[in-house]
Amino acid sequence: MMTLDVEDRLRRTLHDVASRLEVGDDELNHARRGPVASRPRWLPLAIAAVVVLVVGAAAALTGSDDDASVVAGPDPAVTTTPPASSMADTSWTLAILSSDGMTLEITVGIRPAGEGPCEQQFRYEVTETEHAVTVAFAEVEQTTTTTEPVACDDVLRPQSFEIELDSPLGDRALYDGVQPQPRQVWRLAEVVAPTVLPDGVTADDLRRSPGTDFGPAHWSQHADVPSGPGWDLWIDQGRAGSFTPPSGDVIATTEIHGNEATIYEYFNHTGHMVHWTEGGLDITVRAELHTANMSEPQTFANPDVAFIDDVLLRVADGIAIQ
Amino acid sequence: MEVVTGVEAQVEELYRKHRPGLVRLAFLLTGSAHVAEELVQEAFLSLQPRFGQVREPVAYIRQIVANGARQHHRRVAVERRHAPRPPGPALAPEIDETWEALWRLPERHRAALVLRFYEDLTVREVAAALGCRLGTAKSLIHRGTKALKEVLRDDA
Repeated sequence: MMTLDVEDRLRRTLHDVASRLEVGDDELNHARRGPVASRPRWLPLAIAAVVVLVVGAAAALTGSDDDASVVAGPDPAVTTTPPASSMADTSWTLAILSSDGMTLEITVGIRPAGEGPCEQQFRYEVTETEHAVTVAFAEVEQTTTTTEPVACDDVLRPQSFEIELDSPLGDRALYDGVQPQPRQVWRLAEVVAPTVLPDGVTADDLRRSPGTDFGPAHWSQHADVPSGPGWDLWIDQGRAGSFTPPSGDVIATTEIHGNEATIYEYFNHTGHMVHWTEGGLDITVRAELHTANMSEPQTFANPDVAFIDDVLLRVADGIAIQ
Repeated sequence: MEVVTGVEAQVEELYRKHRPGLVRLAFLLTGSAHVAEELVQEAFLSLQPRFGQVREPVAYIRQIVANGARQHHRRVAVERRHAPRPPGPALAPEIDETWEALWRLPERHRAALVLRFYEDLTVREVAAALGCRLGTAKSLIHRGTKALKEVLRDDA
């Protein structure tokens, strides 16, 4: 067979040529991008510090509160000298402030709590001054190690910690001890809450995580959806104007709560998204097919596409801004 | 002393493990060792801030490398007349002919063939790496193989 001969010849050629390239050691140069590489050397201004070692599960979270009257932190663009933290090594993802301003719900990490190669443990330190608060997180080194490769199938399960402040946050800046600028604080009243979810998903299934490069890019709630073709539901929110359209196609326009909304197809046709702006927020509701399911076609083949768009629009219509 | 965060450490571990193979792949796609090194470095740096959202980091890096190679070819305005010379001693005649023939194919066909026959990716994975539909990837591989065969036959 000529075709097989060509394929075999091509394989041998590619491996021969590639093997000639000597690839030496080279460090990943973090300094070439972003503020992560350069750690600020802050002045030691600590007044009071509380260090908590967290072992195993994250702190239990209590009920919600929807009082919108609290002013939650200053504009992150404003520079304030943060209280010192000597231990921070992890920049947390999300801070939501309770209505009385006394409690922060911090989301951090990418893996569930516990000891093992697929888990993470954190300790944190809270340092408060008159003008700023630093909530610094550090990852605790795992005591169990393995040399065997481990496939962690649940790597997007951040942990949440409920942190009590000595006094209301008020207009004090909030820092994470890693980034030099103050972090965004979300009030409970700004949190987008779904009232309609796909079959098999409850509000308790929604996990909070960092924003992605799709959508409003600030933070997300997401869940695996057991019904339908095998997909994840994502609800993203960010400040109005922060939305970046995905690299894909606009497939329809519609209205959500009287606001113009756009439906996109993206990610090699494995993602559908509806985006709209409401209440000073950019909001997206997204559906993404499970890429791990490689035995099935990775497209929203009909009739799945109609099913998914119907579910997305029902979830979007049911979104409430508290 | 620079403190390395958990995510940075994980990305660096991936970098150490997969960089050599990815640099070689990038070299086959671009024909330039220097560009290959740069592409892979950039790809890992772009992975870091979104590490938590990427389910298959190596596939993600491969996609960025393939995209970067394509952009590189767009930037290089002058069409190559000859295949880039790999380092080391002269290639064996059959290898040399095949390498030359490969570089006479359109860039998209060549990329599909490299991903399919060097990386041994499935057609679906080739589609993901190139950011195209499954049918397009199938067509690129089929037409690329056919064109390669014709070039080799004509040169024989």
